[in-house]
Amino acid sequence: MSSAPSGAAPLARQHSGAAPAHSHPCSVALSAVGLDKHFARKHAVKNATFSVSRGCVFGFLGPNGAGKTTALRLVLGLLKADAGDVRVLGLDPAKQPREVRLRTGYVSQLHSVYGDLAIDENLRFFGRLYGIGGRELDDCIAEQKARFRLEEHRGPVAGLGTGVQRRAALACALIHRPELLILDEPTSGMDSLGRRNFWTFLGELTAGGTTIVITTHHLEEAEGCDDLALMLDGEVRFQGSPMELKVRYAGPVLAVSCDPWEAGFTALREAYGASLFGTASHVDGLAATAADVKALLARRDVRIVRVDERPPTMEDVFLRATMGLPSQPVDPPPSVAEPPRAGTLLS
Amino acid sequence: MSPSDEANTAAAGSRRGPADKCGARAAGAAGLATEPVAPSLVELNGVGVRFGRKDALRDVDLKVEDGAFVAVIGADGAGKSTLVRVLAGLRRPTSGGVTRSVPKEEVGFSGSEFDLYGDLTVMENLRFFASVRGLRDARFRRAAERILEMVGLTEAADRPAAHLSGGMKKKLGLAAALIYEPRLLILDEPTIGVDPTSRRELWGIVAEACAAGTTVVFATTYLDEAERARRVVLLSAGQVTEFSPEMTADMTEGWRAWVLPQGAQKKELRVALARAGLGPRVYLRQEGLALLTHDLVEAEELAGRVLSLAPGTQKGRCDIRPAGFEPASLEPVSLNLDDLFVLVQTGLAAQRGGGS
Repeated sequence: MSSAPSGAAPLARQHSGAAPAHSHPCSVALSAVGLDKHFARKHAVKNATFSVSRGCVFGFLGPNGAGKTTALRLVLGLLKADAGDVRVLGLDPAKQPREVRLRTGYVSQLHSVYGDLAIDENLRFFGRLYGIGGRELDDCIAEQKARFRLEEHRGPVAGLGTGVQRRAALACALIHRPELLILDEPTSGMDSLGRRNFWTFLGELTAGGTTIVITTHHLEEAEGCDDLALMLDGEVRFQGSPMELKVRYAGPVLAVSCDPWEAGFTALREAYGASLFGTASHVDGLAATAADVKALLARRDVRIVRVDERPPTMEDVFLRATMGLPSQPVDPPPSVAEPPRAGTLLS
Repeated sequence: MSPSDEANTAAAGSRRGPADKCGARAAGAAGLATEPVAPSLVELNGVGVRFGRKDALRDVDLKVEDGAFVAVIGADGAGKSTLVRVLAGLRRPTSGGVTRSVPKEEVGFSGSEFDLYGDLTVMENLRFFASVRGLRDARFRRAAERILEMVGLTEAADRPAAHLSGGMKKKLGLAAALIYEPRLLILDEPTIGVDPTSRRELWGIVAEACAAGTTVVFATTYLDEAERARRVVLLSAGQVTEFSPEMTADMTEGWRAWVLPQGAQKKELRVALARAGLGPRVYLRQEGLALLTHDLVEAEELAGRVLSLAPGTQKGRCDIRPAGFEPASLEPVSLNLDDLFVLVQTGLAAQRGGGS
């Protein structure tokens, strides 16, 4: 049981076909092996394999249209896969969709709550949907309202602030105390403090054993996840920790200050797709070396004030991965990301 | 030494950004004695906006100088959208004055929501926005070709706007705002819901406009995006404050961030952090635990409190010392904009905590 993860984790990470994802029902909350889905004109999910450990925060990343939402809908049993094997909390969502629904919570980006209903009415509706009633439902509603500071807000949800609406949607998704919570861009538009509090809240949920799958376009946030899957073009191209992703796509970013900065930026953007931060142009160190940058700017007669090497941000790393830049060899797995000591994962 | 000398000295190293900041600040300190470095395009004097009984903005003074690149940050509901709409001339203030040296026709605006015509094609939308500003025929076609190329929508020119993806809609909004080459470009939350690839492209387009001399003001909740700007203003309780590590130095004097690298034990750290309930100044940063405090002793104490709640230590696997905790491994790192924002928003910046 709890002695398995140290051996199993690296296997699952490289998703070699042999990874026996289903053989550790106690440590795996969700697994998909060889998941495939065609729509009329699109091969939306291609042979996708990933697994989510229980009690983890799992980041599901990828550009729009990469197949994330389809994969999540397959996992939840909302869509039927053409091929592949899915287990959610040990259940097969294709055969036991109701059981899966009762034990999972899902917050989509839109329409998660009814705008014309009040918060109480929404909570009551979702509670009944999950088969809770009577005194128990009252308790659940009170618990969620306290947890999300929703006591004071009355009237139709549509008339409340975006932040309140978002908290209300989360409260509804958690009303039945699900073991697995799937959140589609939950922090989009939240301010920094809101996001920080939100992650503390995710910590509370995982402390209670809840597993969380989260999609986000905000990659600083993705760094807070235990594990990530990166989907591109319907395929899962990577699964591992944020640190492993950083190691795989390692290499500095060059921060180049020029005088005048406008001329420097224009030249570096044309040649290497530079980004602008303040007056400094950031050039991906995998696209150009400091010597390349210096030579280019000398040809354009632009004076360089300084060139600094910076560690890449998660966003830099993500863009490298999506642009198909060469990755570092991954065998053997990098030592910085060794799995937790046996026994500390779960019991 | 006059305030403007100070500003110039400070600006010598890194050109316009700090000059904007210091110029504005020095001018504030010395009343109206000093001239700003560049003439302002829009100036708000004591601007207030009221919605019913609620003040969205109160007595806001803000100068947007020619060539500036300004980020407006603030908590949810702080009034960012209202402020950028007042700057764009889309909302009339309830009180105070707006001085504008740039005509409204030379202001481009793109809102946080898609506000173009869904049933018109990409090209038709552009034609509409260009014609409103008197850009027609051959001049329009040249401009449209250039702008579609710039935002990467050339292929999508004949698609109805409603059928575009979220990122493409944002790019079209930006294209509609940029087609008549405005002198002032104003963006409200330009990247919400946009994926990282499109986000990087959007900022690239804005930066190109900026390098070509366009003045840009944008509202954002993402402080890593605010770092792209050369000047950041914080909107809080309806008022603006200049915001950058240098500008807020007096507010945050003594605060530091300390990081305890933990690597693979992040999951336990997250749980311990939630149990410790220490508030937003202790948080996970990258692969470790970050602590915002005044001194190392407090940082060690806080780290110890979190780690003693880690599941590994609760089960008695590590005695005496919480798992993996070596006080000496705490590393000081600089405050980022997120840290500053949290300190200011939670009122911590005003306190000079218990540290020595």
